[in-house]
Amino acid sequence: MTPLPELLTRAAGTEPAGFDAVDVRSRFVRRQRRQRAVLAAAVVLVALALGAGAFALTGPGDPDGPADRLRSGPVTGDELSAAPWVLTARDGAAVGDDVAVSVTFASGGWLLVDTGCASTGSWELDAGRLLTDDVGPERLDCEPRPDPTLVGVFAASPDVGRIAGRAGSLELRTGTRTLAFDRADRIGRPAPADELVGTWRSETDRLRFAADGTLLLGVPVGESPCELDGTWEQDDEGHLRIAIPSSNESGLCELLSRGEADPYEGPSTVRLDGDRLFIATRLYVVQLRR
Amino acid sequence: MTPTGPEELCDSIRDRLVGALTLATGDRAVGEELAQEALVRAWQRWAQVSRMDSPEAWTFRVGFNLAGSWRRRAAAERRAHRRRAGPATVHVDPDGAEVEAVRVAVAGLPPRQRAVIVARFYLGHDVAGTAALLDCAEGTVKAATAHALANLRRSGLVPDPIEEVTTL
Repeated sequence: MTPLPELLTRAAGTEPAGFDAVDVRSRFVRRQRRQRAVLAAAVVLVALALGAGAFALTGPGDPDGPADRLRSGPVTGDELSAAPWVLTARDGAAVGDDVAVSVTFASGGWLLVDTGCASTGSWELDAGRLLTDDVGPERLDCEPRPDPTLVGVFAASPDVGRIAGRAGSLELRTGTRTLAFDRADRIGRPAPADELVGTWRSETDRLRFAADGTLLLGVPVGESPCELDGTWEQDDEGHLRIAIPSSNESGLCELLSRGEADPYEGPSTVRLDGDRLFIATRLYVVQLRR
Repeated sequence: MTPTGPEELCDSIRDRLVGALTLATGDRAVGEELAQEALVRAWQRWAQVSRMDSPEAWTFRVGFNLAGSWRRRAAAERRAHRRRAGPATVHVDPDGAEVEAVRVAVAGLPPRQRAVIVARFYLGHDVAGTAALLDCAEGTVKAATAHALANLRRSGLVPDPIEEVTTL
């Protein structure tokens, strides 16, 4: 039998790579130019898009909007994908305040189970059951690894339902396990501006809201710790808007300043539940504590 | 030896990186694409990457993570395709059946097992080198290697004699 290294070498292909350092450099330069152009255009586009985004985000909280639809009829895919969901209980027992687990059912069929270490896969609803495919950690080296009993619920084709008497709730049930969630844009109560002021932290993020509208957004851990100054405000609907000037840094600072680090990129719903702050867009939610 | 610049890093690892990511994704074209992307990212962050103990290891880790992301997206696309158009038709070249079988078997391993198999048996790292490359504990490498070999043995790619296991 052919030795494994030889098999792998054959399967990997023995021909040389079809590119060289010149190609990589060209791609790098093109990307730099594109990023500069996008940043310039973004100033205009964001101003236009924020209006539409704010309108879209008001829906779930409106008395006549999806909130009422959640109280009757079967759970639909649109309801699942309307916002991220925050884990509130496992097997009937409330999770601790220090547990930050959320799940996003994106409308394109993309599933994100965020336990601090993101697991992704695909999802669909089939007659009230959640079918998922290939749910696993996105990164090889992220810690802590997702709890297999939690992620396992998603792989076990759980029944999907609401919790009686609780609008904006969701329950996933298998034969042996139950997970309860609240919608991230419904959890707790709206956060008024004066209660946002101060410093908030999560495992990976630090956010300092100052009363004068300035902001310090930081990712103080990892290979590329960084902090960026910006501004914040709440619009008439209570949505949080964060503006961060472009950065000359690379890595996380670059991502943050390019608006690619949800949920800080657009108008977000901000909710307070006890001493926890939830900042959520349609795809992402971050949980912070004072 | 630490490369003096991103060009040197690219020249020194691109063939192995393409091969490793071909195995990680099961697709040579995707392996080439992701290898370029990993090297572009190393180029973008060269100020930080060059100060690391092993820029090469960092670039391979980025590549493996890109491969993981690609696999998730590909799985979602396959599923969407199945919903729209029924089972996909797969063309298999009979001459490349063995290569295809190896790629499918390796690409079908869980992410860490896949990375460990590629690092150890394709890139030729020992346990310590693999642990350094993947930024994990040596015990993790040993366990993942054992599980991966067991899975490959079930695929018929690895013989029953436990030659590889005894080298753990």
